Formats: sequence, C-alpha cells, structure tokens
Amino acid sequence: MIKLEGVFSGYNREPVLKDIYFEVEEGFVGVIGPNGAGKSTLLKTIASLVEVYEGALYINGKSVTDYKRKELSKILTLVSQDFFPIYDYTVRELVEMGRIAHQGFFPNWTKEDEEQVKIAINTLGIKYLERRRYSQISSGEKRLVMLARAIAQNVRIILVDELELHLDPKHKMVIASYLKKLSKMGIIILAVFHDIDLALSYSDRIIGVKEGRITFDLDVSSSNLREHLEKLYGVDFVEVNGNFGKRIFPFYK
Amino acid sequence: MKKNNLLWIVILVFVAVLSIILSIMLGSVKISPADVFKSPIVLYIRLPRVIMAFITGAALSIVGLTFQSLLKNPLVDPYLIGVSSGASFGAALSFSIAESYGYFWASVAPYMAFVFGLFSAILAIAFSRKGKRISTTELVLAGVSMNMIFSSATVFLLYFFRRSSQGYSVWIFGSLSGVVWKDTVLPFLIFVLYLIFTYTQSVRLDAFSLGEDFAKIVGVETEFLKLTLFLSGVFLTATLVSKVGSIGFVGLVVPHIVRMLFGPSHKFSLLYAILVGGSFLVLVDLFSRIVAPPLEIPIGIVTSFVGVPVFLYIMKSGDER
Repeated sequence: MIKLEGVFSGYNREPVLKDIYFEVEEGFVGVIGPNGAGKSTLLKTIASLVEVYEGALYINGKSVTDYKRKELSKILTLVSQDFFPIYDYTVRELVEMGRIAHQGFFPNWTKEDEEQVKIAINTLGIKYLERRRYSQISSGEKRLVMLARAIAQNVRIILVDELELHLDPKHKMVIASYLKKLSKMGIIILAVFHDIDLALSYSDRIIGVKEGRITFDLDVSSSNLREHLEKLYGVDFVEVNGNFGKRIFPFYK
Repeated sequence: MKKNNLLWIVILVFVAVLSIILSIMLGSVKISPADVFKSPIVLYIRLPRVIMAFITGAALSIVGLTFQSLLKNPLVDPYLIGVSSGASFGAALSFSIAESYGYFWASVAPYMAFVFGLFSAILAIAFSRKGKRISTTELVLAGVSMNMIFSSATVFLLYFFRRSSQGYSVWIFGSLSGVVWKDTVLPFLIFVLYLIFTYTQSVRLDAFSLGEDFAKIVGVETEFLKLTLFLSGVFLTATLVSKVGSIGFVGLVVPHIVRMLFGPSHKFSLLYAILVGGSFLVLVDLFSRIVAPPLEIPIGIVTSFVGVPVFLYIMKSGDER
C-alpha cells in the first residue's frame, strides 16, 4: 500500500511536488502529464530518493522514514529512466544486483536467488543477452535488463518511469501485459507513461500530474476522461469507439 | 567460480611467486638459488622488503579500485586525490617531532598520517563537489593542489627540523629500502582486515559504482558503505605511507588494467588487483634496485613513469565523461 499525505518534495530545497495526496491499495496505476510535470519526481519520492519537506509518506502502513533501505527494497523497487553506468557490467551481473536486498552481510548466493534471477531473465526473454556487456546491447534491450533486475528483486510494489522508453510496439505490449498480470497477482504497479493509448489500455486507474500537483485521479473507464486529458496537455483529444472498445487519442493537427 | 577465472588466478599466482623469487635473488649481491634460504641478506633484508612491496602494491591497488567505485570515477586513486601526500606529511611531521621530543611521536606516525591523509582527501573532495556531483576535472585538479601543498610542506618540515633536505625523497617518492620484518606487521594486518571487509561488500560496491540512487533502489545502505570504505581505505593508505612514503599511480594503473581484462565485478577484480598490484610493485622495486647500482631510484619515480602515460590514456579515452 502506498499513501501520500500532503507531500511536498523536490531537490535543493525547491519543492517540485506540491501538496500531493493519494493512495494506492492495488492494481495498475498509470501516471501521465506533460514534460516536466513532476511524474518522475513522484516515483522517486515514493522510492524515498528525494527529500520530503512536508507531509507524510507511508508504505504498507509504515512511514518510509522508519524503514531501513534493505527492508524498503524488499517491498518496493523503481525502474528509472536515467541509468548511465560508468563501469561495464554484464547483463547477468546487473540482474543479479536485484537480489542484494535479500542477501546477508556476507554474500551468499542461495537457490532462491538463482531461481528468481532465472525467472526474471526468462520472463523478459533475455537469456541470449546474459553474458553480453551492458554497453554492447541496444537501448530497448537495456530497458528489458533493468525490468528483469526489478523482477528479480521480487517486491510488492514496482514503480516504472516511462514504461515505453526505447521499446518497440511488441515489447511495449509484452511488458505492459506482464506488469498487468503481476498487478492481478496483488503487486502494485505504478507506471509513468508518455504513450497515452498504452497507458489507457493497461492501467486500471489514471493519475494526471501537472506543475507538481495531481490534477485528476480517475478510473480509466470514467466518462469525463477526455476533457481531463485535454486540460492536462492543452491539446484536443478524440474518442474512437469500435469493437475494440473506447479509445482516446491526441488529435494532431 | 568459473573455469576461466580459476585459470587466470592460477596464472597470476604463478607470476606473483616468480616475481618474488626473482626479486629475492637479484640485487647488488647476486644470490644463487642454493643459498637463498641460508643467506642473511635474503632473510633480513630482501625478504621483508619484497613482502612489503607486495603488500603495498596489493593494498594500494584495492584501495584505488574501491575509491574508483565509491567516487564513480576511474581517474581516482589514493595518491591523486591527495591522501598519500597528506599522509606522508603527517608521517614526516611525526618523525620530525620525534627527533626532538622522543620515540612516542614516531610510534604515532600511522595515526598522524591518517589524520592528514583524511584531511587532504576531504579538502580535495569538498573543493570539487557541486551539489551531489563530484566533477572529475576539478577533483583531479584539487588533488594535484593538495599534492603540491603537502609535498612542499613536507620538504619545508625537513629543512626546518633537520636543516637539510636529506631524506625527503622517502616521503615524496616513497622507498622500500631499510624495511625490516617489524615494519610489515601492521600494514599486513590492516590490509587483511580491509580486504575481508571490502570483499563482504563487493556486490554492494558493484551496485554503488553504478550510481547512488541505483544502489539505494536495490537495497544498499549507501551512507554506511561510503563512510566505512572511505575511512578504512584512507587508514590503510596512511599505514603504508607511514612506512614506505607516498607511492603514486599504482592504485590508478592496476585497477584500470584489471577492469579492462576481467570486467568490473568486485568479487573477482579485488582478487585480481591484489595479484597484479603486488607483482607489479615487486617488479618495480626490483627494477629500481638493479637499474643503476649501487644507486637506488626512489620507487615512486618509476611508478610515475609508468602511471602518468596510463593516466593520460584513461583521461583521453574517457572524454565522454
């Protein structure tokens, strides 16, 4: 469970997020909004990487300030969009890092660690990359590796910043539907999207963020979603109905 | 451990043993293999010196490797960020005071070295820090400045106390001559403790070297890791410097070669760095003894001749940083 109560957070004493209230108990939640709205900061705030100036943040009913890093990392993980390593590890080594929170002071690789890493690698279909170095694979593959690392971490809450980043349509679909499956198994997914159609196709709930504030928090089936999207982005949207259901797209002129 | 790694470790152990044997046999007095274990020159002069060279090379290499990961910067080593020259000043200060005020002051040399080494590194890091980031260029410049200040201060100190500049080269360029068995005990102990601790943290250090946010996300207590590895690394360097002076570039060159050949994973690179770094300094010391007998070239001069080109190469090849 994630709960934010009047949170102000940001960098260098400058709040980016202002007065954020929301609560997620389950499901797949999409976060959308224009560039620079504070979506990434929202995820980083929940992951406790950003300073909170005011308000309170609870994970599973306990204030984040009461968590040790290791405990928090067994519950929650983040796949961020800014990961530019200086040192060139192999894909396998990077996925294995997802198991750090589960290890003791002395490193001991257990059967369970091995199992979780295997599951993660097979789920994302990156077995063929295992021995390759991170610098030698494509941007899309890098993204899959970071998602595999998050899955190996075996947590209850997964935060994904820009889910579709560097992914082709097939991989967008594979990943979004895999995360959707996880969300049905009781894992909370909170994902930032720029692809609105993708966000609306997989999320159960959509949160709009603009200028550091939440402007709406709606079920995806809400009838007034289109107006909210238009206000959020300042462009027109069209609604298309067909045998695939209702879809909403930005109307590019 | 994978087959490949095991094979490499066997090869490197062989190289290390070979370099130690060579170094024991060669020198201004040549010793035949039959007499190696009988000769007092070997037992009381060469062997402690060679062992100290190995410990120093190995220790500076793993401290360099660790610092490069902590600062996320392959251009860093305990010498370049000013730890060694600060420590060297601290040790020289101790010994200078000891000349007038008694032996006690000489016995605290490792601690004085630690205090000044730490002070110098903190200054270098503070000057190069911009918010959360440490600028590479400025860190190197600040480190060079610290080196200048503390090296000058060391020379000044020796003039002031001894009214001569004799002996200053030991502190500025390092020297292994005159090392006796007793000198190897403390460095060896601290080295082993540091290695064990760093090894337990190897996977966390892997994650840390990829960014602090990333490390936090996977469950690393980053503040604990930074503080303990930094302080213990400075202490190990200071302990060495108080015995053999400041030897530059080993901690830069060896980790670079190790990472290039075997990848960055600390689980293995720590072991490789010990073997490569230890053998490297044993051979450098041998070279410095036999190249122009009976003169001995200060060892730090040789390591600088090797290290500076490598430093420039890394700087040039890492332009995108």
